[in-house]
Amino acid sequence: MSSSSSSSLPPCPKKMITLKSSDGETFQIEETAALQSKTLENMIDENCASTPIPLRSINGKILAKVVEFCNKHAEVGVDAESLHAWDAEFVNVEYTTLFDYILAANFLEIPTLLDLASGVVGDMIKGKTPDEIRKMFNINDAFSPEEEEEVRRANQWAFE
Amino acid sequence: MAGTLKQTRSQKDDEDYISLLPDGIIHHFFSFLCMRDIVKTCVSSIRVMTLHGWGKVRKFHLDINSEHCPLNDDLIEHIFSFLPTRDVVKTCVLSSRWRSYWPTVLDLRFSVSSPHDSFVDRVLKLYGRSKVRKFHLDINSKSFCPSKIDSWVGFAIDHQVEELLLDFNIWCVDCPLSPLLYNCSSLTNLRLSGCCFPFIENISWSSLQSLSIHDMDVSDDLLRKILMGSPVLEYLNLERCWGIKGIRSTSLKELVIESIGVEFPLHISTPQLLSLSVRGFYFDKIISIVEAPSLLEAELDFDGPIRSDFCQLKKMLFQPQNATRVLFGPSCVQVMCAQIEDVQVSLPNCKSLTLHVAIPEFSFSPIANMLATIPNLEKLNISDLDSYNFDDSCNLDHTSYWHIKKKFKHRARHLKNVEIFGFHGCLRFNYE
Repeated sequence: MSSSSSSSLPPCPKKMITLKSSDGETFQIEETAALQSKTLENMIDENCASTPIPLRSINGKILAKVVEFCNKHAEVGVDAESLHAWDAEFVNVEYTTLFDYILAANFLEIPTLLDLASGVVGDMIKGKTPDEIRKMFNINDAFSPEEEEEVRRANQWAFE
Repeated sequence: MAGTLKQTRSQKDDEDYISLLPDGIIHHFFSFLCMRDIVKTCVSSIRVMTLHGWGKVRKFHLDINSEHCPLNDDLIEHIFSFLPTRDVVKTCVLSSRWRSYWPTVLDLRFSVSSPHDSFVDRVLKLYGRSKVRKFHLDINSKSFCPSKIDSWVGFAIDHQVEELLLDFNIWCVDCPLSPLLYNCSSLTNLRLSGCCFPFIENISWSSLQSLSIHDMDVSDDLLRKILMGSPVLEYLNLERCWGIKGIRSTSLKELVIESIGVEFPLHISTPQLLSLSVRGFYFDKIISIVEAPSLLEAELDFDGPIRSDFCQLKKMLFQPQNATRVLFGPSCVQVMCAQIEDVQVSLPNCKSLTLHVAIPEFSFSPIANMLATIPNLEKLNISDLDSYNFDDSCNLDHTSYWHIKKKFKHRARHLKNVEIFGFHGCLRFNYE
């Protein structure tokens, strides 16, 4: 919430870096916003950010959203409440898109986005049946019905 | 997406058309199926499904799903860690991989409604790590025995808990916190609600960075001990706490106080403070910011003290002298706009000002006059709290629009833009 802003200094030109998605789209992002990503921060520190940074695992559609997220979270003077509302709208998407956000946030190491998206997926699976959760996460070494019944019996206290 | 679907449908007769759809679209539609709740909201895919019958669809769905989820186990664990522990434990039936996962989860979140519920005890007995990162305990019944709660909190402390949240929902006001808690050096984040502090000699929270206390009696003496014993505390949030007279901390950067019963003048002395929020009610006495030279943001949105103290209160509102961003709530706007002869004050560093106003009491002139006390203002934002409750007299005609625009600029020469929300839409003045 707090951030420093110097009133006496003249505004310095914004330093931009360029990101390139897996499908060749390029995106400009201010360095201050990009610093939310540990991965990008390391590249900036090592002076590897002067040319477009290729992100082969993130497509343009998702990268555009990630850049939007970082920009919003780097904005100065946004109160916690309106940021919260903005976040809620941002993750109001299908779970497949949330998976893409999670992967992108994991790759770029953006903990705020990773936790936001993971928390929402967590909310989605609350109260789901084991079968529904297995399908959602592609867990295919499922127990046979007999095995599952046995595990359930052994942990009966958790299902009461 | 809908357009693509229509096009494809018109090209073929209906028996085989799923096979005619591009892979991407099939993936997209079928990805919805495993979540029954979501599929109901997605009309187009239901329409697609019903054409073929559910039997065929399910089979097809399983084929696709096998390559669908791109997340590795670490990321799935991360998602599970956000679940209440009751749900995490249930993941043991998913597969052999997940059978023994839950005892290794770092975050434990319990919500307990009955003292006869043995769930927490079972989990703590089988827990497999030597460390707990987060321990959340939400008690929803008053019949809990304090020793039971103590043993759970003791477990968290023994496991070097970093984030501890105890919400007793005012049920256990007579349930004192475990004295063990006062020397917990692993704590970085502590949130207490509705509990009760026992008498304590010393507090040592050497790693604590964030502390929230809600709905509790916090004596002045206790808060002093807490702040002295928390040398790296940066965030403090007090809500509905009674008995505080002073907040003194050399480390605090952000302070949020809401509806704390201020029965005595409250002194705030926080040399490192960057952000201050004062909200809510029960501010019967003046809050005085004794020391906060670093303050950048101030949000003052509270009611009171009584009007006879207008003069004092106005002085108080001008205390965030160094703040560049300031927000005033309706009561404070009223005080700010009041003409009080003896009070010569200004906010020389404020560049961005937000006013939450109550429309029935709103008019432009006093606000324009007030701007004279904020000479370096660049951005003014006025919003009404309840935009349905506007007064027709606030409807501006062309002449008064220019008049107000000029008047604002006349008072605050550096003003660059003004945004006013909630009258008949949004009104903007740009001076560039």
